[in-house]
Amino acid sequence: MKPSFRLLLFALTPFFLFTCEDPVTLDSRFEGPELVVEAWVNNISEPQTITLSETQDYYDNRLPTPVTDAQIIICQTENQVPTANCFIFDHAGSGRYVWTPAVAGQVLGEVGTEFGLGIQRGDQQYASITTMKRTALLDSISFQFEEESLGQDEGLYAQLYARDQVGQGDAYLIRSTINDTLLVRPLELNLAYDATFSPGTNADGITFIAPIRFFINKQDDNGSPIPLVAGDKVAVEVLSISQEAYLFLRIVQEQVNNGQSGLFDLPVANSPGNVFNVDSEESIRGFFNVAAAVRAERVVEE
Amino acid sequence: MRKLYLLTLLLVTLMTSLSAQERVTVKGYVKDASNGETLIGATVYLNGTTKGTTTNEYGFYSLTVDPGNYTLVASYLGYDDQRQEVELLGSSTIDFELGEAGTLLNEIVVTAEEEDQNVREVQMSVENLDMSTIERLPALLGEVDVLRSIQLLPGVSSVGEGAAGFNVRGGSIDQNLVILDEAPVFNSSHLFGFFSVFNPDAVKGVKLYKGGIPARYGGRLSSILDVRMKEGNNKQLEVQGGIGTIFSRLSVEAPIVKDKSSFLLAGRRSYIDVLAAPFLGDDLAGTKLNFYDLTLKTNYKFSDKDQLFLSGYLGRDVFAPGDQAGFSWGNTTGTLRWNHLFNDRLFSNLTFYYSDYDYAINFGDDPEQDAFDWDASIVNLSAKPEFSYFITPDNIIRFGGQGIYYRFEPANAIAVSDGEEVDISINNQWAIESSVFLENERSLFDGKVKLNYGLRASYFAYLGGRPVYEFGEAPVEGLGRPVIGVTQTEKGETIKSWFNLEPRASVQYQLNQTSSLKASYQRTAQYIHLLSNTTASIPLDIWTPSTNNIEPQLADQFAIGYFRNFKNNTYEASVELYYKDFRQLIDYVDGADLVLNELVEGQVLEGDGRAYGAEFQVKKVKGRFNGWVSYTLAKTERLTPGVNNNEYYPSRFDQLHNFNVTGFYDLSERATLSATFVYNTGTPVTLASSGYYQLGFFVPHNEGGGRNNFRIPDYHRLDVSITLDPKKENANKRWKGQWIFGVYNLYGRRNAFTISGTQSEGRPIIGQPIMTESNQLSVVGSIIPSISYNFKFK
Repeated sequence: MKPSFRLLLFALTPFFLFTCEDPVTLDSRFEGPELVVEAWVNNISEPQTITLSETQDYYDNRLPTPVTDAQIIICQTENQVPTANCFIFDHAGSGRYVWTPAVAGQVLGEVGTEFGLGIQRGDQQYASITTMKRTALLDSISFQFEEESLGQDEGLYAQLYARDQVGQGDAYLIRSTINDTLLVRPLELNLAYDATFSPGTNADGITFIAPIRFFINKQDDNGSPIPLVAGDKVAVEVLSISQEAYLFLRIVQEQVNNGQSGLFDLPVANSPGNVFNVDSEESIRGFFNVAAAVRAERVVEE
Repeated sequence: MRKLYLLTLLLVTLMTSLSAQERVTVKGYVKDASNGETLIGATVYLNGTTKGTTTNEYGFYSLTVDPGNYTLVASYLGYDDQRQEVELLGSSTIDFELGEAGTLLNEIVVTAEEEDQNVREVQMSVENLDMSTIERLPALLGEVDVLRSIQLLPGVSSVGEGAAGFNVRGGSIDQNLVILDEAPVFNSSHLFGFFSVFNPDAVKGVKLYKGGIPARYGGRLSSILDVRMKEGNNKQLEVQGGIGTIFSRLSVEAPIVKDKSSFLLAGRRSYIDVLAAPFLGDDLAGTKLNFYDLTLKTNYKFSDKDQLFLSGYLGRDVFAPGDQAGFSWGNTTGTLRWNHLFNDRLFSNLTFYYSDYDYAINFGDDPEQDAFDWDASIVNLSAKPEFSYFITPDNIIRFGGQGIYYRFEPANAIAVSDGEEVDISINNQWAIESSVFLENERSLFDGKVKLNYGLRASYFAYLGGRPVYEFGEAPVEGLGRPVIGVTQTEKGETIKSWFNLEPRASVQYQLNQTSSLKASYQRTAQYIHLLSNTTASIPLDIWTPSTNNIEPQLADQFAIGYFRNFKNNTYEASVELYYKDFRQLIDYVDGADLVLNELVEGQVLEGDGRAYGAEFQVKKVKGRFNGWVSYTLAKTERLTPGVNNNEYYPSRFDQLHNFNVTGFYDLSERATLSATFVYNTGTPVTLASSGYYQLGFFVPHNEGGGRNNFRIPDYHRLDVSITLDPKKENANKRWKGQWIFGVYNLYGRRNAFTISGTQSEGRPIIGQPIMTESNQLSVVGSIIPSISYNFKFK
């Protein structure tokens, strides 16, 4: 189910004249904390961060408990065997583990490089393997004046012009920051697969389709984009993600937006992680992806 | 293989006809005297004997008896009996026209059959509702609804209010064959699931087979919902209409050639968009929001032996908020039927039908620059000859066959991005389905035992003309399977085919005058499937044939029942137990990508299922106060590799208890009070128990991975309505008006449709906790009063 179709259905819900939503309190069904790894790193020469934390009751409404007693390493690997090119991530407080380039220009690797992640916590070891994929060809951020239309006020909006690389199977995560606010509303999670929403469309090598271009705008509580004003700074990065990361994030996208669409909710599903406990061979929560990143930023002129 | 069946058929037919040679046959039609509509299931019998029969779907009967003098009686509940003295020496034709019973009160009959037919007939697990009952049920917003009505019957449930379709004995919604004058209707709902697509003014009645499905029906696993359209008044012009909260309706029926030919034309349209138009802002100007349907039927009687029926249906929902997006969907059906009598005892019907369901969706106001345009459809064409051979009243043979041609167009779609157009269509699929059946209905031991046994042989071929994919193993059980091979196929070549034998059998044993025992067994095979993984099916869901990657679904069902009537057939009671075993059911991988996906077959999982339960029903069919109580105790479970840790889990529509009371009370000559009360166990949903942070988002997680591991609260609701008919002194006026005042959900309970955990509104800020909450969604969260006015003009 593509986000845009769900949105369209959602737009029809006022027609369900008598529909209402009531908060309910459910008994906790939380079974216990599990290790969570958040290892989304990239090929830019800047400090790279991996965060370790724990799962919590879905309704706890708190920041996660940091995991501070682990050791983390990323190594370039060949056929899953580590090479000498390794990067140690040191704990820098609050469960954040950071690797800082030793010299300017030092990076974790390049497109096509295979990487291994190793985590040691107490007597438990966790590992993961991924490969850096190519990212999109970023052209520009454009500002365009849009007339008033359904769910959108008249005003100036940003669009990301980026082109999918020729050849199918490219997946991207697009992150947008407007005036230092990283956009993380559920509907602002912006994924592209060969320039459209999902692999099934068989598209290839074209400019990201309009909804993806447009999703870099900030949204209000109703999911409508907020027009830009003079002086606003829009910064966007397009990160390449592996096929596994795409599936992981697509399920995240579906699940964080689920429960909004009423009759048309999707079944609750777990995002399949790619970090495994070495002993039990079971995956733990979270993900490891090394991205090729491209960035652009632009300020709305006075 | 098929030849062999036909040969067997012929031999059997020949043998039995020889042995019945010296007898004489009386045949004819039973009709309503006021409008010429045929009466289905009316009884025709020889007075003073147990010899009798019932009229078929076309109101036809045929009785073969020893020559002699008889009194022939035709009867139908709610109508006066009609008697005719006859001297039967040779074959003769006797038609009956029954007048409506002249009861003092406007009594409602809650069954469309002869008085003790429920006990006497061999068919079990069947529900009949005629329009006069359906029309008196309190309805949501006063809109009379065929599909909502059947949900008051035992063994029928739904995932919730407003959800499309219905579930019969643990079957999913695509396992019901909903046929309108023989043509299948693929999406039976307007406005998602709120209103059914059938215009009540055009419907004669519905019959639902939940089990013991005779061999003449097939193609779906769980039920057959046979919706029969009226033929149209062939005595005089009749105009009917109504103004309701949602729809305005108008129908016209009239004779074309009196007693030979008539037509019916009925239309409905919602008018909320007309009312809302002045209140829409600029951004919504030009909004289209309506749904409508048109039904047409006409017939022509060429002779006593030949009659043609032509019926058509067109329905559409249109939603186009502003000028930026449009979305519409609907069904179209057309049926041509030819009834032919080869002789007094051999009745035949040849049906041709066309049916399609399609939808179209588009975005973007500049088709050159950025746009998205997509339409999809399922089209099928069929020919279906059927024969009924009334050898004696105790021995009926039915045989026939069907061929269906399918074309599936999952997506004809383009996306235009920044001036570049890409074709994102999915390749079409083609298939044929054919079947033959032979069915024999016997009455043995002086009518103490009745049998209906038969065999259906079905064949399905998935045809080429598109790339055919081979999928490898899923990386992890429960995840999508990757493509490992592609083969281009020639148009018309058979990629894969299946052949299934579907035995069917029902037996009835008459214990005494008022009670009987029945048992049945059925195997059913289903070759086409609706791909849907949302709570309620959405109009975008597509149908797929069985392919080299999707096996046909199969089910076996056993049922036994005890039927007993009390107080001179005033009360009809029944208990039925069933067990149903499903194989090769369709389920989906986590995060399944089901729409606009050429490789959708890799997203499908195959599982098994089982459903069992007990259904209790007591009906009071006569008197000022009548109605029924039904209770179902049931369990529906699925077993799918990779889901729920490979253990059985309840289906999304599993309900342990389902209890309904429906009552009608004649307050006076003019007024009827109707009420329904519904109670059922809450359906199960899957809920996340834990959560974790990732990239600034808070990801829900279901520890343990259980499917449908939480029950929403129980559902209960009371609806009432009062129907005011014209005063008795006005009963003969040409214009008859009727008012219906209704209240749906009388005590305003907010019944849960689902409960889900969601992120609270508001912008999450990095470094601060993301707030979550759980909410209960009630589709109907208040009392809904309604007023409707209906009229009839003759």
